[in-house]
Amino acid sequence: MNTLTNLTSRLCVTASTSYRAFHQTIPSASSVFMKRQKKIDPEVAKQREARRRKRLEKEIRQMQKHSKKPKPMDEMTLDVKSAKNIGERRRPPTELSIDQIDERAVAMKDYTRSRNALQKLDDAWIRSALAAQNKALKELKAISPELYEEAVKPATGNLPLTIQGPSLTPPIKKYESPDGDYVDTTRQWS
Amino acid sequence: MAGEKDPTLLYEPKFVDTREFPEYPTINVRVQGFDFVPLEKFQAFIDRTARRFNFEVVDSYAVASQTHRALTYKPHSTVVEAEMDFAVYDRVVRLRAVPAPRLALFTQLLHTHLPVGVTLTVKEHEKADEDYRYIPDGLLKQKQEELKALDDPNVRRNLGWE
Repeated sequence: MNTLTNLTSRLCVTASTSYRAFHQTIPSASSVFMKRQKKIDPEVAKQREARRRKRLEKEIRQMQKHSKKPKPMDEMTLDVKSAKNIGERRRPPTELSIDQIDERAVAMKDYTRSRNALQKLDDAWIRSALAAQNKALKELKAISPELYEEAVKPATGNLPLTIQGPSLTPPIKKYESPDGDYVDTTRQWS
Repeated sequence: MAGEKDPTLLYEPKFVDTREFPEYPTINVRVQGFDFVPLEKFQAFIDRTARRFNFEVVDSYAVASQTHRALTYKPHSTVVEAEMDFAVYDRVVRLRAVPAPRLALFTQLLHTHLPVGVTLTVKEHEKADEDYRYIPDGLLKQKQEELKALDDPNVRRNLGWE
């Protein structure tokens, strides 16, 4: 007998829980919208709706005008603590001899020339690559217009393209990485 | 008879489409790295190179960095031995009028010049990329949701409008 009641009670419990397992709250249950109100005259209702929509739209427009605040960038903000005592860290201007000035000017010119040469190489590459591509596409168009259309289409399939820059050193052989963790401390805006 | 013969050109000039190839709508080139000085130099390089390819540079901006804390544990425990804070800085160049076949050449050139420890991401522009720059406005979102809720039949019935 005892076991039987036990069993039935357990059955009951399972049955009721299975009914109540899913309980969902409507997101705006606490808002004014959820208080059931009396049915009102359709004309008045229309008027009220128009008024409310207009008010909300105006508020949204006003807020959009003023609300676009960029997230603060740490590397671009002034460090107040160090800015206060910046006078303590000012150095007297260095006096350079004529020779030093000359030497630096020559070095600067050399540097500029080297950068200019590199940029010229880049420009030449761009020019040659564009010319080669144009030529290839022209030939392709002459051979098969369908293939040309395919070749010229935006390749959206490749697009989130991620390229990792080189590392400072080659991989260290037999490197045992330490046991550790990364914690994301990015400022969250809710 | 003097003047143009084509009646469509009588009152309006002809606008010639000079585009040779199909174009991507808008492209975001995003660079991320641990050091923002080379990153900004490279951002300038991307800008310059894009102009040389005759792309239109719409915008070139900085985004708030992501900060991380790296922890190392003592062997066989979770006792912290050392910790370090670092930031992943973020710069974006936004391009328009990018002819489809030219993008591959452009990314190839960027790849050869990529500085140490910099990650380059090329993707199509989405609204989320623009929103990510700004602090989300909770109050504004709430108002927008309220406006949207006015279309919901349940809400309308509760208001007594239907």
